[in-house]
Amino acid sequence: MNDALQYLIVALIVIPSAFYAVGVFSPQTRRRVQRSAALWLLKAQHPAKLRQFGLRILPVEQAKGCGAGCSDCNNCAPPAQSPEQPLLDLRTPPRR
Amino acid sequence: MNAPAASFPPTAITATPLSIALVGNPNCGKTALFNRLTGSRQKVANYAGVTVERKEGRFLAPSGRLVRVLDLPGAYSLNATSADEAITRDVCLGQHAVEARPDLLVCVADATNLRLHLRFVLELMRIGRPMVLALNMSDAAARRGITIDREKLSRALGIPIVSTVAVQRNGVHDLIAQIDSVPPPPPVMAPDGNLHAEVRRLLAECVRMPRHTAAIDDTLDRVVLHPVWGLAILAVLMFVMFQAVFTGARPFMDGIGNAMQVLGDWLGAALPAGPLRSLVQDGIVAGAGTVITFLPQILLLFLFILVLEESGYLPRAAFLLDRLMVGAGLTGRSFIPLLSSFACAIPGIMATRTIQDRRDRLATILVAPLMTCSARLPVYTLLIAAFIADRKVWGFLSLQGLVLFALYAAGIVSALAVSYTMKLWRRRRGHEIEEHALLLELPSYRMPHAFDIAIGLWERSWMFLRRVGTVILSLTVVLWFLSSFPAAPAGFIGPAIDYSLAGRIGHAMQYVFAPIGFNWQICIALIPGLAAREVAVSSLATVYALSANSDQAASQLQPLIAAQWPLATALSLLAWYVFAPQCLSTLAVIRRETNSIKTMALAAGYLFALAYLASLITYQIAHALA
Repeated sequence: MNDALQYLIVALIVIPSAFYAVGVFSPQTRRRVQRSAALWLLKAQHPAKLRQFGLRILPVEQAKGCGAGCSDCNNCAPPAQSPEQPLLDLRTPPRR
Repeated sequence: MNAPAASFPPTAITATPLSIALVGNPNCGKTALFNRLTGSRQKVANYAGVTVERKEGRFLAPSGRLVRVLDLPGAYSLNATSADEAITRDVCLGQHAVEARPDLLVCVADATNLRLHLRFVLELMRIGRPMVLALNMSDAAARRGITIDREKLSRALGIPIVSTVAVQRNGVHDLIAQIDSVPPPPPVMAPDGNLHAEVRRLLAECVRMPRHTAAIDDTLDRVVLHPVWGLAILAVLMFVMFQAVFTGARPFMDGIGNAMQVLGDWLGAALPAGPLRSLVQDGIVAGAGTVITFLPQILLLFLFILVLEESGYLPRAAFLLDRLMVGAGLTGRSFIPLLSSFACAIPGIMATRTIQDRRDRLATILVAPLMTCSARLPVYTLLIAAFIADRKVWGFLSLQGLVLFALYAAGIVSALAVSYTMKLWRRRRGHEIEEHALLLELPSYRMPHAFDIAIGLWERSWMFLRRVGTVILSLTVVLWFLSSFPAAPAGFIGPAIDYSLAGRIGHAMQYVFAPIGFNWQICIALIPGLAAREVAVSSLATVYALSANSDQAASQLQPLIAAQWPLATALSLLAWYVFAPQCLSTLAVIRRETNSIKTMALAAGYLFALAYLASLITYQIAHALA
């Protein structure tokens, strides 16, 4: 493995880590940066793949509170049920 | 139970959800019921005041109706006396800023304690909303020989009543059927009736109780609540906990440490020399890998906390310590928030919402960060294992365990001293000090369920490992980068890390921290440690791994610091971590709960000043004695 490839892999590990670390110290800054990047990627002139990626990284609004998933304490409550979470289905299955 | 929704025709799901709220007195099992209905895993424990915020979940009822469930904090009355009770009042009365009034109230009552719980049921009926009464813990009531004529009680109240056992898989079927049918509103009640007299009449007509309390509870309470024996039992319990945390986890920690070393060696051999190997070996494995070794200790600590929470012992301990806490300017109600802070200060600070008096609540919030949270455990363990001899005192007590106990005790004593100072300060400024009598509901003792404890421990493990994989790993990688770049030019004398950005920052910070004995490596570790205290350990491991000359030294932090640091520095760092406000999340929660930047700044300022002062005194004395 040559040095250039090693530096490329290191960059691919360090950059996302730095971005995450910024979010730990300043979540609002990270959200602002993430939102700006997502909106730029979502521009109509960009290819579909890029726009899809923009949609994926667009930050969603989070509820405040212990259930908001602050992920910064060992004893934090699990996040409140999100709309994406599967429903607990208590119906009896239809008879065939 | 989690059947896939896709197996049903999608048209069967009603578009508009039915909104229901679980309400009732504290500690009647609302959250256990909520978890059972929605499949959530919200925290439950055997004491009042676990839920301080509204929680939301959903489920599909047998008819295909989508049901939105709100779990509200427990309340004794709609005349709210604390912040958490106010949430329940506002939601029930339709006065909440965000939440609409629920379509149906599911009033949960402890079947073993209807004398207390029925009063709130009657008060809720006056609102005039459709309502179902769930007599929870009906299995415990049956064991105690309590018989409830449900039909008669239902006719007398004019609302449907179901028996539930929230902790059992099939314990809520009848309740789901009732929710699905949405009963009509209860008959209109006169607003000025005597609720206590009405409860007495209902109990006389519909309930037969052999005795008001369980015999076993009375027997245990005679010992556990004894002014002398009770305090002795509490002290022994705490002491055993910290001894076990240190000695019991050691073999598992050694096992994980060895595995990490093997992994580091293997990766070192597999990767070619260069920046990638350094990142993996010195950054990821040496840094994040070091923190993982502390998992057994954290789990052992949580095992004790979970057992105490489930058993119903905690409110008794609060009762025992009330006199001491009132003397120090707190209240017995502060005990549970402060004990929660041993796990993490954030839920501890949030739990202060159960404290009615505003000043008592503020005092508890300000001293909660002094309780030794589990994130400090890796730092304490690392330093104790490196600098305190592993020997027995009186033949059976571990000296290292004793030092750990002393550090926890130092946190408690400091919290009491700080709150006492605040009390004196308030008195000197002419504020009236009100001392409220402690009114606390003592729950029945319960044998902790092994399965629930196992689930609790699994969740803690998962949270810890997720934290290692996210916050700790990312900060370790960033620190590795800052400690490696810019690379030292050819001919640079000294370790390459001195030339790096982190090395320069550390050396600059040393001017401030030299009087308390911190070297530049410790100074660097303090910065990422602000995000999570354990990161200080991974940061030290990374910095020393990059400074080390051999692979052996790079993989083991403990012998390295034992050889390089004087004892005075280690003691000073221990003293620093007893007080340091090194957790940004805690400060953010203080700001949110008090709605005041000034209070947050006050907390950060006094904790920093205390930490610096304690470290300065410790270092200077230890240095002089050495």
